[in-house]
Amino acid sequence: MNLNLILPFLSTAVMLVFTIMVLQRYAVRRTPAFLFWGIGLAMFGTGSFAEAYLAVAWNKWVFFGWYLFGAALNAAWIGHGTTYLMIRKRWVHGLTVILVLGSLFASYLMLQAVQNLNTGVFTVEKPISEQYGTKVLEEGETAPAGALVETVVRDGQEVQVVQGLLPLGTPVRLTTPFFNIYGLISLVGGAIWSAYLFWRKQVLPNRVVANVLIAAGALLIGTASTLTRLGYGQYLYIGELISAIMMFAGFRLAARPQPREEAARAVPVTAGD
Amino acid sequence: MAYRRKASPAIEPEESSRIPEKSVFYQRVVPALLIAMTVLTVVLILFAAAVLLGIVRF
Repeated sequence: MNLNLILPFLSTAVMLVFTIMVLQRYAVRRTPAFLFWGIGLAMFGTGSFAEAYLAVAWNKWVFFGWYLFGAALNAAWIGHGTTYLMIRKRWVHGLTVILVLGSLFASYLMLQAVQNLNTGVFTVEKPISEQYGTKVLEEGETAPAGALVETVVRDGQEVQVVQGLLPLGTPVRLTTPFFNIYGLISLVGGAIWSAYLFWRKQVLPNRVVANVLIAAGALLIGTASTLTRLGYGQYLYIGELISAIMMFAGFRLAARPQPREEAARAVPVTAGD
Repeated sequence: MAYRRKASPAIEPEESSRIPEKSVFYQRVVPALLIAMTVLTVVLILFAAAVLLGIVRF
């Protein structure tokens, strides 16, 4: 049983159902938030599918999709859906322009990056999250067994690196923190804030739990991604699956009908609306 | 994921609308989770900022 194949495949299945449900809501209600959530979730699913594919075979365009949609863009697009509900339309339209232009720029950088991949290091034996980046070896640090180690010049100094698919200093990698910071603030921050407001008013317990699940799920994948960047990519796939399940459960819980009395006082704006 | 006021939707009540007053889960666990998640969010944002500033090498 190959967990590198099964876990991403399960995540893809969950995200596919999740994405379809959110986009169905967009088709009915025409709320831009659902459109951005749907696009972001589709990106998440694309990243998961790419992981499953790359556990079997190599394809540079699948890797393109994995990095661009799975690692760089999805959190920001999902979070932008929440932003649509939180701030004035005038501001959110400006942010939409920045997000779209930023995504196009990241796509351009990724198109350049796929032309210079170190495909020689690729193996289906390891998850793609453990072999995509080139890592500088710090003093006293040893390379993993079987890793391709080279000496390169960085900032005028010779350093030893463990070669990954993306060469050292690939510009597209600098874009991911921007998208992920925005995604964290909008998606996780929005869910925590919403849960807090319901909790403070002591109303709608299902919405409190729903937002806690959404925030926790997003934080889980954020933490797993951070660990991956630090060189501990083995937690990414299980983190993705649990994250997908938690966010989906939160969405379903938030979508449940609300009691009329409290809904009249304050209606939360969550994925379920 | 956010909060705003609007008219009541025409949905019949299906469950309790109030958080139980003596619930340990809602009165203790939920606030602790919210605080912990806020702290973790800030840590992750600081990490991402450290990558951008070159403090964390990649």
